[in-house]
Amino acid sequence: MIYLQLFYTYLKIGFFGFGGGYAMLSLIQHEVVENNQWITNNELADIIAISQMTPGPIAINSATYIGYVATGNVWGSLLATVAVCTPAMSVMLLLTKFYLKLRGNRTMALTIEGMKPMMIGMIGASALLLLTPATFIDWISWAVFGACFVASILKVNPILLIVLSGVAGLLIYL
Amino acid sequence: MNTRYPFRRPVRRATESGSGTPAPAQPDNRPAAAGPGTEARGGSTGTDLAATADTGGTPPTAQDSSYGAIFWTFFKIGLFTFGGGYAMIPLIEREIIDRRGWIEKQNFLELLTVAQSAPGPIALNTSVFVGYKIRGVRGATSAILGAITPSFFIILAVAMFFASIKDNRYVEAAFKGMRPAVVALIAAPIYNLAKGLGWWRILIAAVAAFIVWYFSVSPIYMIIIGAVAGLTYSFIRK
Repeated sequence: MIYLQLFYTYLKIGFFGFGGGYAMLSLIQHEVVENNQWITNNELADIIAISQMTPGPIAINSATYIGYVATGNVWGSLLATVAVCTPAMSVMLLLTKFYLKLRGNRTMALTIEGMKPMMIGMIGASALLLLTPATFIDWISWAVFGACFVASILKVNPILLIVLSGVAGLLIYL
Repeated sequence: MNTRYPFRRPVRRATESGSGTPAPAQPDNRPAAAGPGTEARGGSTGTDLAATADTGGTPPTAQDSSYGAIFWTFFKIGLFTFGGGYAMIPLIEREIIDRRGWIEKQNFLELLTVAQSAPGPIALNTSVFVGYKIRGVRGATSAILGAITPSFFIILAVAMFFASIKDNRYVEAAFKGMRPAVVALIAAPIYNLAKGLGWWRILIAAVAAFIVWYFSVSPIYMIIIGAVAGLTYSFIRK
């Protein structure tokens, strides 16, 4: 039952997706590419590129896209999008409600501190998982990677970087 | 719709000193307390309270905060939030705090740290707490629907369309260039984030990344291990 599987998978992604978009990507990759094989690694990289150029968080964009691709219709898209939002919404509502009580709580603060290196590690895992022979096809790929890495640290607009590397791809690979 | 709020000045500044009195109501074309049930509650608290002040337990709001207005405001924010949660912050500050005066800046900044440590996309979490602060659970629902609707339809259109063009040689060539760029954009923030950690926590992050990458272990376990480690530490070192 593809719809159930899709809903459950994105519920999981929404619930364990700590640390925002890039940290969630390793989980998305694990579930969507490795476990369920709804899309390939290359397609995931393409979705991330598209997501950078369109509004909205990558986790939600990936849910909308993969929901459609996995089921072939709009309802799959809607289902996955709702699924990824549900845990975030419920947890965040509770946290907002009890925030005044939790504010000074040492246990809570230390639990989050403990998760912090993991969140950063998962961003690293996201990058490593996408770094495959299919995405890095030759030395030019590494050159683009290096240039964008440095430019991104220097706070160049990510949309500009995606567009420029797309133009570079057109000039080089056509 | 923009013309309804031409050059609105910040209205919440006066109440930020914490006096607790509702800001002077500035009703637009819509009454502020439009939701069902709020009238009844407003009636029981007396008549000298402005109707705008009673919005079901949430802080008094200065302006039209109907569910439709919340939805529409977040729709606009969602439409211009490129690149995830942090891109949303200046938009919220301008639209929700300065222009509408729906929540206070201090409150927003405090809850923002909560949004960053909760699961899920930061943009989504931010919409939820801001919506909740304005009009409770239904406010949060309006906010979330508004925030994701633009991207939902855009990505749906892409998904329907992209399959038919992705084998096009121009599209394929452009994406060959973009894929390594995407990996670079993901990797670059690690540099800044790692600077704030000690060396042994960087080591933990690196080991966790390696385990997930090399052994295909689910990231869920890494998150749980981190949480349990922090929890254990808090009990050992009282």
